[in-house]
Amino acid sequence: MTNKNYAMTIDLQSCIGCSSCAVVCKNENNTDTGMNWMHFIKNESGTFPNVSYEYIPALCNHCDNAPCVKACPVTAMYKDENGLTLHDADKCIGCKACMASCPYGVISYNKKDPHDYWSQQESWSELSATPAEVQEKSGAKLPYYNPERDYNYEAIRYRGIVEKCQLCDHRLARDEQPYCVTRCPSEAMYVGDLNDPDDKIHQILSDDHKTLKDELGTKPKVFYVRNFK
Amino acid sequence: MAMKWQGKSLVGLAILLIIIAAGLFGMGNTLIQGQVLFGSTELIPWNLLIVAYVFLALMASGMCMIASASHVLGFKQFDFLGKRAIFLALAVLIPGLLVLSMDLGRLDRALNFITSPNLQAPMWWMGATYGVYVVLLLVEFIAMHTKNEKIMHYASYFTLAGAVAATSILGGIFAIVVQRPLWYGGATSVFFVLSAVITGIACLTIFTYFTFKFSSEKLPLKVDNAIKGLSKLMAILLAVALGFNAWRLITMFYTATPDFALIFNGEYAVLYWGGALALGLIIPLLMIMFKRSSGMAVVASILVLSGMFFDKYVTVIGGQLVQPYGEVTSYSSTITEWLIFVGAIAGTIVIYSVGVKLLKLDESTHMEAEQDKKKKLRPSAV
Ligand code: SF4
Ligand code: SF4
Ligand code: SF4
Repeated sequence: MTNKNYAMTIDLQSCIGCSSCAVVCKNENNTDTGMNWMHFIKNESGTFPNVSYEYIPALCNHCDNAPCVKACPVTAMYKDENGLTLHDADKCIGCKACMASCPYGVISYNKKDPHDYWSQQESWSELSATPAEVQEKSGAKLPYYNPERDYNYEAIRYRGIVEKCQLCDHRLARDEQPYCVTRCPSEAMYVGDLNDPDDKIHQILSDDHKTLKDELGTKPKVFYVRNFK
Repeated sequence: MAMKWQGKSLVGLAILLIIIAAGLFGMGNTLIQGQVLFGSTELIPWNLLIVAYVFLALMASGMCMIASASHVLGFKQFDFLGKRAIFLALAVLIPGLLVLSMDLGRLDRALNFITSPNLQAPMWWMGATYGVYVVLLLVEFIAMHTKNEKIMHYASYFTLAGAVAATSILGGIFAIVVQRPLWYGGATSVFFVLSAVITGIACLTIFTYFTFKFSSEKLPLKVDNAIKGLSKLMAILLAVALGFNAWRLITMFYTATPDFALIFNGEYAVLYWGGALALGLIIPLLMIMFKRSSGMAVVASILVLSGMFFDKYVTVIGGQLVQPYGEVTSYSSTITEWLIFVGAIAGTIVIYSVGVKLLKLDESTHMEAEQDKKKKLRPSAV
């Protein structure tokens, strides 16, 4: 079996800027508040009435020539055989060289153990359960815990290491689209295999498309299709 | 007189120990609570500790470069400073490495440097070269202390190469980051080597001056001359550093990035123009040019040290402020960061003082010893 070369397309004319992708990613990957594997770039320009507004969902670009991978001293950030840029939580020493060198600012650092909210003993009202009680009843570190992320990555990361979008490699491995892709209400996103000539992605890319900061030579693999401008 | 100094130095020592204790407290707290105690954020991954480490590591390499180069190239005038410089380099570098280690999220995994190295990463090379370099410094110092001339001779070549390599690779960590104009480019690495020598000279001058001031009424002629000689060298290098900065500004002026605005007339302008340039380069250069005394050299050196710290602050922190899509964020350091940094400096001073007391840092090195021997053999030549 030949290796895949995964890439994502985001159709900017389909995207309605709802941020669903960012929200559902948190569910799928158990990220804490403030940790966003999927985020957005928002540009507002001009003065009323001649204003323009641009919303671009932004995640790790799984660059083919990834500066974060080159900068990581202990190979904790690496390219896998299917072209993904992945992070190995067990190897990471928390030096942040990857963060300093990623031109897209998509890597987050765990300053503390995530989700400590759910171990708090105080409830917000006398009538409600405390977070700790909810945690106990649910039997997981957080009530909306997704065990599937555990497939090949620490399901909930921990203090002292970084984390970022893994392009839902646990879902790709069983031929499912990443979670953000499946939950997008306007079906703006798609992940396909550039190595497969029959993959739908080539048809999508026949439309006008761009990547972010491609002038830096990072060879990003999140393609933005059909920009308004 | 001796009594008076003893009293004073006891008070000094007590203060230093308190500062070290505060630093250790900061470190302990960091190990327990984690980096929530630091001002670094998602947007600014590297904080004051990295500034401090860069500053201290360059200082250590600089002193080693002077010591080894004066041995290798035969600058006899500075030869008696060799042992002091190498010991000081160790006394600066070891606390410096401790500071750096506090910024590693998982210090317990430091062995991964050996078990899964990435040879493409400047950070890996930095770790490797500094690791080897500390050992080389130790070997050189022990050779000096035991007067093993042969080892000392070879070690000084290796430490010189090690110091230059380690320093420029440290610069390389920043130099490879293309989207950060205050970091990017080979010149950064070269500038790191230059500023290492400058910082090293300043530090060596200050420590040498005060060591002799504390131990004798009048500065011995040899010391006075050496300090004046060092300050001449420093003046030349300060002028070169000014040229470096001028060209950095000029090239950035043409691209007019937000980073340029930041140091030209933005949030970091005062720190850059006032701290790094005026205080750190121009004023000390003028001082040394107009009055050549060792007292003046020491004051100039103190200014140079602070200027070089501001320079590193502007580079490391300022270089991270501009975000990928143009917005500019801000950073403020925390008490814990400062405690660790200041604790490390106090640690350096205490380690050095212990060295002065126990390890005969004033001892003549081989060249003088040889000259003395010759003089003794042929008394008529005196
Ligand atoms: S976007 Fe950043 S984190 Fe993702 S592969 Fe590229 S450099 Fe690495
Ligand atoms: S923080 Fe972790 S993943 Fe990032 S460069 Fe350091 S060791 Fe590698
Ligand atoms: S691909 Fe998966 S991990 Fe990446 S942003 Fe989408 S949901 Fe999150």
